[in-house]
Formats: sequence, structure tokens, C-alpha cells
Amino acid sequence: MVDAENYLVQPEKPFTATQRRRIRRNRLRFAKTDCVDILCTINKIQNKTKNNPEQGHIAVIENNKQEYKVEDALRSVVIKDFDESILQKMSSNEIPPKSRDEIKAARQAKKAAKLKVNNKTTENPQLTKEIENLNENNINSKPKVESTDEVDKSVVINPNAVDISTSREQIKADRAAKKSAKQLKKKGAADGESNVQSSVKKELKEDDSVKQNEDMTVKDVVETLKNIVSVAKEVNEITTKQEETGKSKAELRAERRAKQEAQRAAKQAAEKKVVKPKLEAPTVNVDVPKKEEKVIKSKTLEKSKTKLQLAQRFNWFQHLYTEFDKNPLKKIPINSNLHPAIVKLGVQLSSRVVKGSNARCIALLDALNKMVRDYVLPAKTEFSRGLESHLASSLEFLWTTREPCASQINAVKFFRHHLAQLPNNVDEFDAKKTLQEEIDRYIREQIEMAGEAISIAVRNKISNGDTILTYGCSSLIEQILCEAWEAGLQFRTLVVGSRVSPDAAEMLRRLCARGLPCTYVDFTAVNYVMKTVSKVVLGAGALLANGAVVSAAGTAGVALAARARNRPVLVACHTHKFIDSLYTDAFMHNQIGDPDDLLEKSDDNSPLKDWRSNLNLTPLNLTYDVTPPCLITAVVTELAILPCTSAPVVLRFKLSEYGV
Amino acid sequence: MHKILEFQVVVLAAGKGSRMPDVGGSVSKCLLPVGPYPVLWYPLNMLEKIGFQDVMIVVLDEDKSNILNALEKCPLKIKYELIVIPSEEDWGTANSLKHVSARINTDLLVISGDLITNINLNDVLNLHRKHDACVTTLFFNNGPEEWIELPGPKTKSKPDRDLVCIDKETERLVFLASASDFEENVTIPRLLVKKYDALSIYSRLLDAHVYVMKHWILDYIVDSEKFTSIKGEVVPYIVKKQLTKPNNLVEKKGTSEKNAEINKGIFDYAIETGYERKIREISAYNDHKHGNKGVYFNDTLRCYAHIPSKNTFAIRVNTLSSFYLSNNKILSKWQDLTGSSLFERFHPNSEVKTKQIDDNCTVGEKTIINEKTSVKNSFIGSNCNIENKVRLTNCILMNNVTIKESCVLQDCVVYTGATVGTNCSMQYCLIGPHHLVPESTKSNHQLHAETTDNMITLG
Repeated sequence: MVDAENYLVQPEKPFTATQRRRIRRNRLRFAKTDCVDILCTINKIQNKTKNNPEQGHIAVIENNKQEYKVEDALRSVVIKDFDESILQKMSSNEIPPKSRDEIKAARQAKKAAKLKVNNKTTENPQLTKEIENLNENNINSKPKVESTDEVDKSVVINPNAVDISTSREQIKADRAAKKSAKQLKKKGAADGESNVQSSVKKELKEDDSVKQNEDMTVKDVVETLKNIVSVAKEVNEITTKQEETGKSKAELRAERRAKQEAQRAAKQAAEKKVVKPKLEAPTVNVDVPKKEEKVIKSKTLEKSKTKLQLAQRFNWFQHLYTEFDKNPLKKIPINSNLHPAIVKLGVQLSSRVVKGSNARCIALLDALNKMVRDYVLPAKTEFSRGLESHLASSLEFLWTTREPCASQINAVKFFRHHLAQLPNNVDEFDAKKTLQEEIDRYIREQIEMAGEAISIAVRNKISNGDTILTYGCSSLIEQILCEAWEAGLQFRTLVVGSRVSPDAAEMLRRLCARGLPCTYVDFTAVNYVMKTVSKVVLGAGALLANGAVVSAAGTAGVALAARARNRPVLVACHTHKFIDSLYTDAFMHNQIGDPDDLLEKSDDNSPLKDWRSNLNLTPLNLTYDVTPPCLITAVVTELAILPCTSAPVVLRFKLSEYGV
Repeated sequence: MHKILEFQVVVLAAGKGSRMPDVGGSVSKCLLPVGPYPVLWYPLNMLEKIGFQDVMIVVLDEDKSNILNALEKCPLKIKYELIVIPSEEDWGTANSLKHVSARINTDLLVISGDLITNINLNDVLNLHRKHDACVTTLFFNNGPEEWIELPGPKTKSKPDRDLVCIDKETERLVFLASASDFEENVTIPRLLVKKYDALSIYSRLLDAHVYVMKHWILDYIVDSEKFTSIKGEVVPYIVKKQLTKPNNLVEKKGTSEKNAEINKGIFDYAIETGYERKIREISAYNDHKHGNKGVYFNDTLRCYAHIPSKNTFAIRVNTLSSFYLSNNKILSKWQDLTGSSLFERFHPNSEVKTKQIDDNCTVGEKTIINEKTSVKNSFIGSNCNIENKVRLTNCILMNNVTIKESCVLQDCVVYTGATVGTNCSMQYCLIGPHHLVPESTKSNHQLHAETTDNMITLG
């Protein structure tokens, strides 16, 4: 506080940009600590009320309500409740030491709220804080200094900010407060809260009288209460926000910094405008509030813009929206250092023309192959180093178009491994030849031959008359089923798909084209058809070290349904998709699909059609989910059919065998 | 570091302006002024804006020096290289491409030198990359051209129309023909109807003459020697060939080596070196919903056409009306088109003595505009001399024009080097290059030029 004061006392001096920045940062820091203080005090109050057996009931209700306080409609009701709760708290604590605490809290809250009233537009404690500071500059920064003092002084401050002359309004406000209390009493009568409330009211009156004795006007009380409510609301909002977003401090800080920067820019722009009047009129103080208004306006405008953009993001998945923000396709550099094949692949990955982990892996290797083929070594550079830097920039571009999947990560690892193993004085031609051969070998061994091995292994598990259920589209499953069919096995295939992705329909088409008897069911019917199924064969996007399978969203649901009916679930997965990272839910790593995919595009009257205009509606289209190992009977790899918990063994084996 | 280029750009600027009225003498189409700069500057500027660093410009022999001079005066950072083709022989666009083919070793972007548009070409390139297309074109769907009263004698010009058939969802170009090829009926191949659920047929699209091509198409053009025009022959041919299946490999082996050489069809050029086919097969993507065909119906050749939204600005300066219209609109769209604002309306070396000149005018280098003149909505080229008491409204004056005293010109186009005698009054007139309009002429909708019959010949 004192430090803040130091900064506040010297408003006349022209600050340099860096000074100003520092000041603002300090102010923000104080604002933050203030917020926390208020929070703590309010929590304390609540705890106290809980201890009080009569009012504990209400307190609990309030707590519940606070949690759901998101929508505006609810808010007003909750405010009333909260208002009342604070009345109670105020009244319930008649013991002097306790009341002091509360009055302190109230005072702090009031201060913030007052300032909030002054600038009306903001919900943001930082902004209020700023405005507050400026206001205080005008009033010679008295209120702050006295904030640690006693009640009386804070009461003295009040008339400073608000007009004293409006005594009528005070009375009106008083009446309104009483009325609301009455209404609440009526409402709560059924719950038997009426006693409490009447007591509250009495206490309130007593309180009032006490305060009148203390030379406190009624208006002050009412106002403080109101202020408390608004501040409490604010605090509550902030806390809920924080809870929901679950953002780390660093993220919050970064956000704040961005905001600050926007504010500063706005301010500077405003200042430029005001430069002329400043020169004319020597009394800068008069100009300051006007300037502030302008700044606030522009700030809120900016804020509302970004808010609109950010509003329709699912809070839990904020960290996944990075790809959307970048929108890489609009600004692909033309004829840059990137190889054309890489650029093309980037576009294809981003537009989902190349999808499915095997296709993505092969496409990546193919692009790398072409890149190596056309690579020209700059003079005086070691081949591996030169290519490595080229590779790094290419991959950086590719990963902006779509996050890499496990198979791609492994392919890159493999490529880097062979690149690093090239001898220092290798001939450019030889090096290229080696690398290209290695790439071809990888595709042949790790994908094609492995696919065949898996196909044979699964074929041995399929017997005549089986019904095989599969979900979504997987090139490997397609291969397995087609080859099994061509080997003369008689079985039926059930393809399960969801409305969101056309993949399953594509799978169905491919199987039908090969003459397999197929049935297509929607995901919603999985439970129903599961009883007719003899085996479930699923594809995988990645297999994690703990044996969990990352696959197209919905796979976990199918596996669960199979487990419920006690059907065996086989996951067919190349070992090049095994990855040594580990996560247990689909929240940490995932990809956000195009939200428009959730809509029925052929239906022009779809109620979801203009979801972008409805801020309360947030379509979320997740691409992957994680199937826990307990739902999977076995993983079929080219090495063997394994329980999926032996994924670490496969990883270790690959490390010793291939070095990657 | 040595760069591997993704696209090389060829700007075709060797058009003679066959759709423009014959005004006697030669006027190179790409040097017609649109606002302060020649037409050719606009595509170059667009290319520069999206990041191209080098272009090749195909120009006519006779225009080379003029174009070089004109481009030097324009603000351009992009490196350009003029490639000359002989003016006497009537070369088509495909011939021009053949001419430059030796210099091209990557995929190709062909742009017509008379295109003025604000579209982001990246959209076209991305469409090309996305589907690994062999040809990608660009059409504009801006509705019918605005009607505007044109200078010169009234004519009924019938614009060329194309029939363009596109699968709207994927933007695949499936049918392309000139409307003049059909009299009453248009027959669309049955296979198309079989393949696609819904096809959109357009007849009023503006062909931007922007082609993104695979390199092998150029090889094919060079080898086959039967094409002269890209738009008229090459693209329709390839679009048509999408429907046919490549000949069986077995069949080809049966014929002798020599025969195969001669009968080398387009499919023999469309060879994929890597795993493209496999990737297409295993990727879960498919561009159509029905039928049992794989992605792209397993077609090797794929043509796409991008149609941007209706409010993009696009104009091809190849007719008098589009020339006049583009001048009409250029200043209001300037920011949008060029991405920068126009700083110098009046060239610093010009002498503008009158005050009655409004904001919609531009004045070129070394032009003298004397006092007591009034200039509105007019573009004045360089080295012009406008004497006292002249009134110009909605006029386009090219270089080296002299307007003598007390003339009143409204909605006129005055070509290079023309002189208008004193006290003339003209409305909606065309004044041909190096023509001298005698004193006190009064005319309306006339062509003043040294053509063979000195009046009215329009192509």
C-alpha cells in the first residue's frame, strides 16, 4: 500500500514510458493482492456464519448459488441473497473485535466498489484500480492513506466521493433495501428461514441505530452494503473464472501483460489527441478525467472485441485452440526456403486431406524424401548440420498447420537419428542416397510389412461366422478385414460411425467396394448391436506408455460398450505409433476440430446454424479420446499380440533394436 | 542458400487488344493507363504483395522498350524479366508458354497482364496444393458488368461467354467450353451426371486467366504441338481428359517402343514420383459422399476452379468498357487493391497551375496544366499540355496529349500523342493516337482516328 502511495503522490511529474509501465505494473500487483484480501475476508465471514447454527443453512445455500452464478438472470437473484448474507454477517457479529474485521473488509470492498461505480464500464479489478488511483490523485490521495485506520475515517471519506446533497436518494435506497429484505423474507418463509430473517432485520435495525450513534448516516450503511455486494460479486466472478479456466499464474500474467499493452496503446493514442488542450490549459488536472474517459472507452471496445473472439472457446480446452488462432494457411510464404512438397503437405494436413496416422506418417516421410532429394548443400557446411537446420524450419512450419501425431513424431525421430549418424565427411550424394533409402526402408518395414504381419495375426483370431465391429476409419483395419475376406473367411462387419466425422462412411465405402458384407450403425446404437458382435477391432492413433490408446473420439465409448458386454477388444497398432509419453485423459493433449463439422450442413434450418451469434453456445469438437488400458483386451502389433500394458516393453525393444 | 522455387510466374502481356476498338496505330493493351499506372502494373503489384520475387513477362517485340520505360516509372520491387515474342507472327498464349518453357523448371503460375483484382492469390494456390491438382483456375462471379455509357461510336458488342461447370463442394472444374461453340443445346457428358450429385453451371463468370499448372503440363504442351491457346484449347482439353481413364499399362507394353513414343498421351506425363497414390489411398479423406469410388474418383487428372465471394473486385482490361469502367472505379478501390494509399496524385515534376482540379484526378510526369482550366475525375498521362480555359470531365488522357485553348471534353479517351484543336467541344469521343482534331470540332459519340476509312471500325 505504502509503495503504491509513493507512486501516486507524484502525478504531476511527466513519466517516461518505462516509469509509467512500472507504475502500472505495481498498481496491478496491489490490485491483485487487494482482491485476494477481500476474498479471504469474505471467506472468513462465511466461515463465521457457518459456525453460527441459525444462519449456517443460508450460508450453504449461498455457497451453492455462488458457484452457479454465471448467467445474468441468475445473478440478480444471487445478488439479493448475497446482499442479505452480508447484512446477516454485519448484524450477527456484534462483538466489537469481530465487527472490526468485518468493517475492514467492508471498507476495502466498498472502496473498490465505489471506484467501480465511478467508471461503470469495467468488471476488471485492474482497471478499477487504475481509475481509482487517478481519482485519488484528484482528491489528494487521502482515502488510501486512511484505509488502514478506523471506521470513522472511512465514513468520513465517503461523502468525498458521493454527493452529500442527495439525502432523498439515501432514504429511497434505504427503503429499497428494506423492501428487498421483506420480499426475501416472504420467499424464505416456507423454508423456515423467516425467523432468521426477521432477526436479521431486527439486527439490521439495531445495527443501524448503533451506527447512527456512531455518527454514521443511513445512506452510508446502505451504500457500503451495496458496494460490498458488488465487490463480492466481482470477487466471486474472478474466483469462478480462475477456477474454471484453471490457468496457471504465468498464463494469467501473460494475459494481463497483453491487456496492459493494449491499454497503453490506447492511452498513448488518447494522449496524442489531448496534447493540444494540454498545451493550452496549464491545469492538467482538469484534463485528466476527460482523457481517462476516452481511454476507458477505447479499452472497453478492444476488450469486447477480444472477448467476442474468446467467448466461444471452451474454457477447459483453451490451451488447445492455438492452431485456430494462427490460421496458417492465409500467410504461407511463397517461394520461401521451404520445399514445395513441405508446403503442399502443410496445406493438406491443415485441410485434412491427409488424415489418419499412417497416411500422415507416409506423407511426411515422402515430403522429407523429396526435400532431401532437392536439398543443395551450402558451401562449407557439414551435410547433417545443414540439413538439420533446414529440417527444423520445415517441421516448424508443418507443426503450425497441424500438431504432429505419434507416428509423425517417431518418423522424425527416426530421420534425425539417421541424419545424425552420417559420418562427418560424407559425400552429399551418398548421404542423400542413404537417407532416401532409409526413408523407403522405414515405410516398407515399419508400415507396409508391419501391416501385413498385423493383418495375419488378426486374421488368425477371426473365425467363420464372426461379426466384427469396428469404429471410424483406419487404413490398417481396412487392410486387415479386406485381406481376411480375400483369404476366404466368412464374417460380417459392423461399421460404427458418428455423425460428426464422415470417416466411418468412408470406411464403409471401402469395405463395400471390396465386397465385404457390411452394416453401418450410428454410435448411438452401439450398445444395442453389441450383443450380436463377437469381436471388436479398433484402430489407434497412438499407444501411450501406460497402455492407453489415443484414437478418434468415440473409440473409448465403443470399448466401454464392448467391455460391458464382455466382448474382446483388439486394438491393431503398428509399433511405430508407440510413444513414450503418458497421459490419462483427453484434456491434456487433443485437437480441436472444426466446430462447423458438428452442424448438419445439408439442413439449412438447423437451429445451430448461426451459433456464432449466440455467445452462450460453444460447440466443441474434439478429435481424439483416450481409451484406458483396462478396456482393451489386447494390442495386435507386428511383434506379437500383447496386453496393452506391455507398451513399455515394446518401446524398450525398439530402442535397443533400432536406436530410436 | 539455393532455393527450390515452388511456383514460377509468367505474366502474359503480349495481347494486342483485339477486343478494343481499332483506333488506328498500335496501342499495346498492357500499357493502357488505369489511374496513374499502366494496366500491367496491377498484376505485378499483386504478385509482389503476396510475396513473389521474380516474374517473367511475355511481351511483344515492338512494345518492349515502351513497357520497360513505363515500368521503370512505377513503384515496383519485384524483379521482372521481359521475354520477347515476335509481333508479326500471331502467337497464341500456348505458343508464348512454349517459348519460355526452357526457363521453367517448377510448377507454373500464369497470369494475364490485364487483370486488376484484390483477391488473395494464396486461396488459388492453396486450392491447388490441397488437391494436388494439375490445373487450377480462377473465375469471378461478380454478376453482369455494370452498364456504363462508353465513349466512341455506339456498338453492340457481345462478350465471349464460357460455360463453366463446377462441383460446388470441392470446387472441382468438370466442364469448360466456350458458349459460342453451342447453338441451342449443350450436351454434358453422362459420366459427369453419374459422378456428381449436384453441379453448378455458370455462363456469366469472368475468367481471370489465372492458371496454376503442374510442370508436366508445360512439357505436354511443348511436346504435343497442337495447342495455340491456353484458355481456348489446353485447359478445356485437360478438363475433358479428367473423365477418361489412362490406358492400361499392359496394352502399352504390347506396342513397340517407337509407337509408344508417338502415342504418348497426357497420362504419360502425369507421373507421380513418390508415395502420393498410396497416401491418397490410405488417407481417410474423400471428396464425395456417394458411390464406391475412392478419393477424387481415382482420377489422375484433377482440375479445380476457385470462385471467390461476390464482393471481390475484379476486372480484366480487355475491352473498351472494362477499360473505361476500371478507370472509373480505380481510385475508390485503391487501398483495397494495392494495400497502400496513393500518395502522389500529381507527379512532382508536373505543373498544375489551376486550382479547379478535384481529388479524383491524377497527373503524370512533366505535364503542364495551365491556369483557368477545370479538371474533374480525369486521369492525365505524362508530357501532356493542357492550355487555358479547358474543361475536362471524366476524361482519360494518355501521354503526350495536347489540348488547346477553350476545349470542353467530357467522357473522352484521348490516346497517345493526339492533339485537340482550339475551341473543340466533345462528348463521349475516342481520339486515336497521334490524331489531330481540327479546330472548333463538335462531336458526340464519335471516333476520331486515322483508320483506313477514318471512321468506325470496330472489332
